[in-house]
Amino acid sequence: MTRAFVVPFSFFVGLVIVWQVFVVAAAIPEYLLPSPLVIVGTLDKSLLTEIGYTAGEALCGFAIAGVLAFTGAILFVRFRTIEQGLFPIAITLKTTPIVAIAPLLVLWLGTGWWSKVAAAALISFFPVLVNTVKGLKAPEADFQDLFRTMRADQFQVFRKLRVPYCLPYFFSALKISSSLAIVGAIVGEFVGAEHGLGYLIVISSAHLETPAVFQAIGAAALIGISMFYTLEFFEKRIVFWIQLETE
Amino acid sequence: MNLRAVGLPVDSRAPQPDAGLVLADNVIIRFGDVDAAGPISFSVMSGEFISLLGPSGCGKSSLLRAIAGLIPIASGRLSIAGQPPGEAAAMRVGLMFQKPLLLPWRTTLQNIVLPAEIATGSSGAIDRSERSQALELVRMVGLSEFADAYPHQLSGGMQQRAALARTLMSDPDILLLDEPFGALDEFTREALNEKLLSIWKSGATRLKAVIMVTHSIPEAVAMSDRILVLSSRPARLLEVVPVRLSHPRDPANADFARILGVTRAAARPS
Repeated sequence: MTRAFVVPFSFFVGLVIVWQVFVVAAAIPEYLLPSPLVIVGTLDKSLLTEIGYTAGEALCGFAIAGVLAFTGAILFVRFRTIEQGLFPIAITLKTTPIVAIAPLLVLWLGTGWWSKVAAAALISFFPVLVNTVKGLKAPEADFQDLFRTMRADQFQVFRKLRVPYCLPYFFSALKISSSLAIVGAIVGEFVGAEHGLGYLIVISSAHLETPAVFQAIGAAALIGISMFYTLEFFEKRIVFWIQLETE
Repeated sequence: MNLRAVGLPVDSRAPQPDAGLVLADNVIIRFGDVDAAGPISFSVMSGEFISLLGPSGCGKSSLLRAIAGLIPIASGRLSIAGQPPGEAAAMRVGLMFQKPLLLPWRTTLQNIVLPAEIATGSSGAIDRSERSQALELVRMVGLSEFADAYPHQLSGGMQQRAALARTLMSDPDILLLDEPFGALDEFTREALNEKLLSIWKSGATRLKAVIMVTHSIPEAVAMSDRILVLSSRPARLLEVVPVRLSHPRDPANADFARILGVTRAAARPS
């Protein structure tokens, strides 16, 4: 085990112990703050079903957003007019909170699967678009001159220079968007759903079943962490020459 | 007199006064309202190694880029084998940059074959002879052991050698060098200059002329057949210094020192 793993893990265990001791010693009621032992002890197999719903919606939306954003970025960089026309609109949409849009999505797409997928896709689309555009434009002028001296056409410049050059930016954006996709799915479930972690949180908190709320929160975090590290696994292998910082 | 016309054997790399490979006639290069170079006139003959020597920022790199067809000239006439730069289909021009500009996701060998891949158009598949040519170039620049290494695994000097091999891969007739080893330490730089000269002299390539941009006077004297001494921006021709010394050139040699002095005096701002 590396030190980089052991140190944060020890701190995590330490915090959980402090939490447990505090709840028991101060006799905090379970509906306000359940102890870690209660949260884990009341775990139920049905949680897996809810995880499945939310993870599925988030992943599906995330995948759609990734494909659309990558394609859109290429169009933006290839055709300046499209970029000039749509980029300001994209920025406006990006700054609009998903919470404000989610009720509309449910209204249009219903309380089922697709309104959540749309929310997840919408929220994860823009970071990927913006970063990929940045990456496609990142090759310095000298690189473009180099390709001109080799008499490369636009398609070759994209295929052999711009696209590989933007991959680190693309992956870095995917990692940011992976956690956003879960936010999107859960917000969609808050507004109107019969399944999922968001639904579980709303229902359980209304019934003061606080341990279930904590279980759902933990599960959402687990989905996010697994998506992040899966992406990082692929990033390390595909973009082996560089890794950009992800905040 | 045209020696070819009367059927006499001609060494294609020997200077031929009637074969101006690159001709610049009152060329001016302008960026917006700022004059970058000129008016300047010079010619480069077949078989010549020419240095464009001038202070940093004088516009010598702009001249080189104009010859490569990367930037337009504002006025005057610039031709390569009688045709405008960038259109001279019969003459291939290879430009080597100050930075290696290797694609980090490609190995040394993959970087070197890039010009061949691009020349194939959409298929991007190179044939066996191109592959063996690339391997030969890898050997020529001394990178055989690093053919499958990635740029980040190479030293700065090795990266520039790979860049040189890539430039030669497109089989240029005219090699343009923009301070190719300027970012390297002096030891590496000298070794690479010798490597470059040996490739140029070997006749293993199609090269007919080399034009090198430099701000190092000793480097210009050590490498070139003629030195075009340029003024500060906008670059004008101050003096042409012929260097009639055989290779390898010894900086301790009295003639070398004399030419060094002449070049220094010509380059001194008046």
